[in-house]
Formats: sequence, C-alpha cells, structure tokens
Amino acid sequence: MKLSKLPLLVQEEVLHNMEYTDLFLLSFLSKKVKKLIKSSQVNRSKKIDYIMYDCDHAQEILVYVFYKNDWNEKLLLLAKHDDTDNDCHQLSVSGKMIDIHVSDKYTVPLVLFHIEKREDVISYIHNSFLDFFGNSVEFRWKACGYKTRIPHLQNLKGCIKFSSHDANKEILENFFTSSPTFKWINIWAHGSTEPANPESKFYQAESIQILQLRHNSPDVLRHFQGKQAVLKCCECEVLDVISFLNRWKSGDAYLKLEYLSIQLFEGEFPQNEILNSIGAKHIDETNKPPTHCLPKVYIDYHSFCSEPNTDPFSSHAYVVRVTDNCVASVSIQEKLIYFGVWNKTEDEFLKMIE
Amino acid sequence: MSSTEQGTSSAAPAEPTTAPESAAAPEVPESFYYVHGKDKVVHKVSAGALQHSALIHGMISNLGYTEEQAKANPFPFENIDGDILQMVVDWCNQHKGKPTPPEDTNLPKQKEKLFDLVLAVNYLEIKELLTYCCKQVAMMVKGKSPEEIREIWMIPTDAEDEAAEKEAKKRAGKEAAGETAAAAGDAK
Repeated sequence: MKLSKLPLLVQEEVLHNMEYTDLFLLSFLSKKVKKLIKSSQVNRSKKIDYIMYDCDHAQEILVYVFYKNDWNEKLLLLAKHDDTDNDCHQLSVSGKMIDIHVSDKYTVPLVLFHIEKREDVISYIHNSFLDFFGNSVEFRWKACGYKTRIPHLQNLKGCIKFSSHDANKEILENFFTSSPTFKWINIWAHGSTEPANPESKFYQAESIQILQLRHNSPDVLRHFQGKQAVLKCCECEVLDVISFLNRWKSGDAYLKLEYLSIQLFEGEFPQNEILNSIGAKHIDETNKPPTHCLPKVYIDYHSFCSEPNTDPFSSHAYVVRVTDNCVASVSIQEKLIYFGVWNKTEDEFLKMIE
Repeated sequence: MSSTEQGTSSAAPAEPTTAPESAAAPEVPESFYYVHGKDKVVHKVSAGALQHSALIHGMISNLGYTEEQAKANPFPFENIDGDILQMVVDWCNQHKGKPTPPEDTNLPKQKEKLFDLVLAVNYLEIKELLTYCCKQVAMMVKGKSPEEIREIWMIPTDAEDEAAEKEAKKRAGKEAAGETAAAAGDAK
C-alpha cells in the first residue's frame, strides 16, 4: 500500500486517526511526510496544552502530550540503554544517531541513552519535539525529587512536588539555583521550607502550594513573584500578612500575583485589624460582590482539592493598587484569607457589582 | 432487503419481496437500484442502503428513475473491482437505516484490498465507511518502527523523492518542448 497514492484528504484522515507517538516516528521517514503531518495536524496541535517530561527515580523519563481538556497521551519513554538489546533501530534525531526500540512489549517507543549521554539525548529529542510541535509549545519537566537537576531547554519549565523534611538545605538551594524557572512547586514540610535567597527561582514559580506544619509565616509570603500561591500553615504572623497586602497595594511587589490563599491550622486572623491596617475599601452591604475564581496553574490530582479552578470567593472588602488602580478582593475569615486580583480598575470593578 | 446477483449484467434481478400489508398503514414499497463494477456483475441495492453513498444518493435524487428504468440502467463503476464493490454493497446493506457503530472489525486485513476499498469508498463518498477504513489503515502502523512503517506504506526516502521530482520535471520539460515543436509544425 502506497500511502502517497491515496487522495490527499484520505491521507490526512489516516493521519488524523493516528496517535502522536506513531506520527512522531513517521515524521522521521522523509521531509515530505513530515510536511504532510504538520499541515494535517494544525487543528490538533492547537488543542495541545503542553508536553510533559515525567521523571522517575531511575532517571528514566516518560513523555506525554497533554491536551487542553486534560486528556493526555503517551509519546515515548527515554530509557537507559540495555546493551543486550539487539532489537534497536537507529534514528537520525537533530542530526545525531540515537537508538530506539519499538516492540509490543512497551506501549510507547523507547529512546535509549547511556547514562553519560543522558542530557545529550534529551536535548536532541527536545529539539526534534520543537521541530515537530512548533516553537510555541510549552514543555514541563516534572522532577522526581530535588537531587537530579532539571536541564535548561527551550520553552521548558520545571514542576516539582516534594517534602523538604530532613532536606539538605545546600542541595535544595543548588537545585533551585541550577534549575530553569518553575511552572509549579508543591512542597510540604514540618519546618521552614523555602530557600533563603529571595532571588531563588523557587519564588519565581508561577504557582506555589505549601503545606507547612511547624513554623510561622512562610517566606514565600515575602518573596513570591509568581501568579498563584496556596499556603497552608500552622501559624502566620499578622504583621507578615499586613506587610504583604500593603506591598501589593503600593505596587512594590507581587505584580504578577493573581490569587493567594492562606489557611491556618492554629490561631485566627484578626479581620478588622488587618482590613484597617491596609486601608481596605468596602462595597455597600446591600450590593452583592462579584465572585473571584480562576483556572488553576497547578492542579494536584492526587489530593482532595483537585478542582480545576481556585476556590470561588466573594467579599465586600477590596484594595486598590496605587500604581495602576488595579483592584483585588480580600476575604478574611477566622482561619482563611483569600486574596484575588481582578484585571480591572476600580471603576470597572464597581460596574460589575449587581 | 436487497439481493446481490452474481453473473452478468443481463441477469434478471429478483423482484423485491412484498411486505405483508399492515392494518394501520400500507407500507410504501422500497425502491431498488442497480450498480456494477469492473467485472460487470450487477448488484441490486435498496435506495435506503445507497443513502450511505453521497455520490449515488445524489445521482438517484436527480434521475427520478422508475424501477424499470433503474433495472435497465445500472450505475457503472468501472474503476472499482467487483469484489470491492461487493464489500461496499454488503456494508451498505448491513448498515441500512441503522446508526453506525464506533468500530468496524469486518474490514479486510490485507493491505492491498484495504487500499482498493479506501479508494472506492472515497470515490463513492461513503463517509462513515471511509472513517473506519482510515482507522484501519492507521492501525496498520501502530507500534511499528520507522523502517517497518516505511515498508508497510511504501514511503520513499528524501533521496528517492528528490529523484522522482527531478524525473517529473524532466518529463514535463520534454512534453512542453514536444508541444512547442508540434505547434510550430502546425503553424508552418
């Protein structure tokens, strides 16, 4: 059967029925075929959210394509070379010959590397992904612990979920110094968790989720430069909360912040003291305030809060940033603070109120 | 139901069976049409089954044939092998008036037969069957190595593509030169 003898629309329909793992291998066969795949997959590629490198403890990496509807498909496995494997094929990837293994034993093709060439092979494959999926696709590297560095690759952001209990501070600091920027960080610990350096890439993560049991205010409240933060801690200094809110209000910090929640396990937030200290404004009690809710940057599928959106909240209290008149709703309950930034000026915000 | 007649185009098609009369409403007799492929074997197919083919359905709608006219003028599909047309007719009969299932496992496994079926189904514009066929073609290379895919789908290398392109250009050039010479000859 000669594929090229089929009418073009039929060829495209055939490709439409193939998974990316097969299309990716097919793309290596000729320039003509690669061109056909790219042109036939334009609509499908628009549905891609990101490509995920998922590492395990053996330093092997399973690569997934994640779609915007959360559906995903496996693409390939970067695996350690078993030199006894005689069933390898050679593939020219980004101008370098690499070994691949395809068999019914595995659901995806294996791209094989010798441990000393691991980073090189990852880099060749990554470049071929950029060529195949386009330069605008986001890549995420889900690290397994903080002991193996995340490579610096185009469009790649790190993701990590770990416990810093008994962590070696130096290794932890080095990990965040040597890593690319992070999409999300999920960390839990008994004590202080965060790197000391305020410029650490830790604080530049787009989303941070912290569960901190025996410590006071998380440092992330002071140094965070990302979009969304969910903090669960034993205690939290009121002055730290007030300082955070005032710094946001002055436009000195947290310019990218969209959402923050702080949940306490012990003690309570003094609502009036905080609102008075930050000069909060109030919507008339007879009016219904708008509900703040955003798609989460990080969804923890392994927890009870695997909702795709941030907790919806509404509050009559709000603050206005002096530098650009941007509004944020503030809700302070006994053990919970919600802070949600609106991409609206005060006038625009007040127009939303019913 | 339709019947398929093996033999020649002159073979008399069987009369459609008459359904028992219903007390509630008289049933409208189903109309039938006739098609043949390269082998001239005529297949009698109901209009209901032929609705799967956008091409034939369009032809039927425009023609307004009576039963006798339809019998006397079978639709000729000289570009479709007889056994392939038989498969298509069988599929249309099996799925007449029914919602099509998500999978169809009765498609040919041999790649050449499947290839011919794809071409026929594409020509006859049978959308659902084309989708099944394309899925089946896609499944042929699932989990195969690049070289196995190359072999199954006969994909030329870049060098072969370039050589074929050069050859095509050369041929086109020769043809153009021939046409120019012929035109010059005519002018004289």
